[in-house]
Amino acid sequence: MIRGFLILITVCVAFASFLAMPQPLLAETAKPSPIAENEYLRGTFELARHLNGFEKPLLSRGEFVLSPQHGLIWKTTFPFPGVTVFEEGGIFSVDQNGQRDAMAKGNETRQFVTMISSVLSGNWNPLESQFNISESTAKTKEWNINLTPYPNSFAGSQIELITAQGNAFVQEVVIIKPSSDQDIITFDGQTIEPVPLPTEFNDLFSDGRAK
Amino acid sequence: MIRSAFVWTTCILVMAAFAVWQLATERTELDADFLSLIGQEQDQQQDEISDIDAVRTLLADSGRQAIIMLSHPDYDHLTDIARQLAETLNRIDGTASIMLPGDNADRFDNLRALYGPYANGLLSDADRDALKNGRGESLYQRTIQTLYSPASPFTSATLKQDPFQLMPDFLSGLGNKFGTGNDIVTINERSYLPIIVTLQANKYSGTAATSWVNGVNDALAEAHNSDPTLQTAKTGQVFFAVNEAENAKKDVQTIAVIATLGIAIMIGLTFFSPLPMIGAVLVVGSGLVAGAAALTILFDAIHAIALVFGATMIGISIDYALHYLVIPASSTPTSSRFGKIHKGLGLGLLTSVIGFSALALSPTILLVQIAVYSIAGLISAYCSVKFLLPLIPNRPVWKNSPVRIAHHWVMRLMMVLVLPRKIQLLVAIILTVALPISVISIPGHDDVRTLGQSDEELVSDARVISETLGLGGSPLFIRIDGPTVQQRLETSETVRNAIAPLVSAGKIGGVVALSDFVPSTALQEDNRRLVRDELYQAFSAPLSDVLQTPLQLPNLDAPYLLPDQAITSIPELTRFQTNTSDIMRLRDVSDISALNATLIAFENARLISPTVIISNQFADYRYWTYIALGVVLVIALLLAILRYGPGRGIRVFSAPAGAILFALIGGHIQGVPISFFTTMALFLVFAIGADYVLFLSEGNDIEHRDHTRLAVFLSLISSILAFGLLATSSVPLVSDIGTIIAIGLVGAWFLAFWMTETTKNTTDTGNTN
Repeated sequence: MIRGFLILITVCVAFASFLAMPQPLLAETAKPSPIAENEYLRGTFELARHLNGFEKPLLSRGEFVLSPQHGLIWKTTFPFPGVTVFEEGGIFSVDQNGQRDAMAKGNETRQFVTMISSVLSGNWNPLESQFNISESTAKTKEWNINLTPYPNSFAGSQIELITAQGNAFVQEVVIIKPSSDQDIITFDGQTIEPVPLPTEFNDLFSDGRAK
Repeated sequence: MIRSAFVWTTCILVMAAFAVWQLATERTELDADFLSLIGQEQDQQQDEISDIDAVRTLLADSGRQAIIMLSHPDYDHLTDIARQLAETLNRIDGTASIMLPGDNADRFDNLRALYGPYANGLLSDADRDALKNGRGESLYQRTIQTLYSPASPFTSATLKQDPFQLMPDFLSGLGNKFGTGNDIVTINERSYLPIIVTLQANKYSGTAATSWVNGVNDALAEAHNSDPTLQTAKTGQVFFAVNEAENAKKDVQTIAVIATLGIAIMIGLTFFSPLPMIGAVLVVGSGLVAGAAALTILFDAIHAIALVFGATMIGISIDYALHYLVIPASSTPTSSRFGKIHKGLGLGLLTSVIGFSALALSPTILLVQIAVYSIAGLISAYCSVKFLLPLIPNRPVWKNSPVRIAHHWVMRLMMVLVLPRKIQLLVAIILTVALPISVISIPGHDDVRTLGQSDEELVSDARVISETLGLGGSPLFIRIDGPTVQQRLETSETVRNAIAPLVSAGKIGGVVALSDFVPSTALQEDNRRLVRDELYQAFSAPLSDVLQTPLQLPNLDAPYLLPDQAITSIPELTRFQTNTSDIMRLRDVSDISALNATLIAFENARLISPTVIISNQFADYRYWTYIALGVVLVIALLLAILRYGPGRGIRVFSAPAGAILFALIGGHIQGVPISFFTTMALFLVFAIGADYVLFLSEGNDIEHRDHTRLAVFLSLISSILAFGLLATSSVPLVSDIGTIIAIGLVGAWFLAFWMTETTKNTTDTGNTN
């Protein structure tokens, strides 16, 4: 049951880490560099969730950290604080008291994490099996890409179209769902930094906590 | 004579054609499913479904499921192999569907559509507990977090139906109640993946099942050959059933070949001609044909067990043929050979028919079918002896036949043991009295688990799969009774709460019930009230601000989710209902005593173990067989007294009765459990024992005494070859039947001779010369 939103998150993360992907089709544009094992990517995001029938979008902002070793932290700071951690053992929400609640576990979650790892290593295969990937235009240094789920793929029932654009880093991802809802995620301030992770992020991962 | 033979041959051919036509056109079905016939009693007047019906439904459902576990050190490679193997398995004839880990995920939308309109009344245990204990704010905080989390499954539509996002937790809770199972687990750097295969409804038993299992074994072997690091294990009723059936078949085939050869050699050594063998085959064959024809006329479906036992019973008709064949042509004109034996033969047939008629009075269709088959078969065999055997040229017993010589020496030895009539009578009375005492004293043992011999590898596989994935194992369930569906749902919810500590303590691996998918209306209403009072009234205003849309309080009078609606969307839910009963499916129960103790408090809920229920069913069958045996013994005693007078009558009667006694005691000493099947073997002992003693009693005049004795001796050897060899089988059920029959037949032969033979110093009336 959690597969649907796993796809959404997978795609988000895939684009968030887009700089890590060597893209032949982007030969004329800025090329993202892979994240090494001893590096991590961090930046800020703005998520505008447009819901059909609701007047205004649900707007949130925050920062994210993506580590090849540990996983992804999605930390919302506005309008309410909240943390979601994606790692091999599952997806967890972490409240202000540090209480972790599992949102998803099991095989699909593992596949999802595997997908992130594949993306981090510059392998498009995990998304290619679910999406038809096509470049739109590349007249400027920015690249544009459309992902259309294959009709019989499990992503097909959850997603209608995904578009993304960026340069050396991904800048914006738009996810359009069959319900006519759409999420627009804008990334900013992305940098690749060497490990170790800052303590406040490192402690959010289960293996970081163990240490 | 020729005309009679022609008419009778025509009758046999018509019966054979009819039986073949009925079976070939499936007007009469041949049912090999063990579960399909048991429990289908003739007097099903009760409104409430019987436990055996519920068990049949449950096991038929479970019987269609097979679990294959793959393990490999490389997770990704394992999933690739699983996908390829699933495709191969899907191509095997008999496979209905295959489920790999995660395959159910695409049903999320269906569930969401089903539950969405009723979301306010569907709470997970944890959420309900939070609201009951005034922790509504934690749920509100969770709602806020979910709204802004990138891993949120909601859509605008579900948000309108369920603003506090309660349904995802309800669905997660539902998954937890199922427990682990359909997922990949990793232990010690090795991943284990379950493939759950469902067989087509008509393909999980009989030859179709054998073919399917062979296909699966080939596929697994091929996968293993392609990657030797791949390990496989499999479990499911179908694997055990096919394995045991194959073992039994192999044993019985070997024994049948030896027995047939033995009988052929014995007849050959006796007559030095194939003609008597042809005569014997004709007689037994006509019996089988008539039995099959009678069953196809009277029943829409014939069970395999009835066919096997019926055919075994008809096997005794070879005695009829031998009794006729040993009479030499030179002593009497051909036309009167039958006349010399017709009394003994007729009485033997009458006794057997009475015996099987008593069996037919039981309310059990299985026993009725066996009785009908046997009665029709024996009558037909009798007719064949009368009408067909006289047409076969007579071949006298060879003078120097080794069988005859052996018989001669055996008789000389036996004569030494013969005692005066008074002592014979005393012994006969003791045997007659001891029989019912033994029946009462020797306990029955009807546990079906002792009937087969499970393959060690399959048992090991089942254990490994159960320990690794929590799948498989022996099925147990709790039966919930109640006049209305809502009452049953409420009982089910109360039972679940009561056994929750056992689940937490690991004594029960998992429980799933209809009430998990569709809570009772009472619980839904209570949930809705809790949501309204503890969540909406306190937090709808701030949530409304966040969503920038007004929220409406839940309406307690709005419709609630009903089971019928859920079953339409989730057809599998029918697995939790059996007519007017609901069943709670249990998994991995390690403490049955604790579970039973918990259920004592519930009048309408009880633990059902299919093994126990089926064993009890067979205990009932054994009970009915004992009653039938008792009735026929009483009738036989009365007939014997009427025919031979009190003294001789009791002696004659004591031969089959004593044979049963010997078989009972001998079997008990040998450790043979007295089950329904061994009791049926006692029936056979009675029928053959009655034949022996009647043949000897009726053919005991000076002229034919030696021939009759030889005929009975030949019958004993043939029966020992046919049935006694079964005792050597590795399958407990087959071996038990063989042991009982072997002991019983030797006892019957000895007593038949001993009770009908006179000492040199006594007359038939027992007076001293």
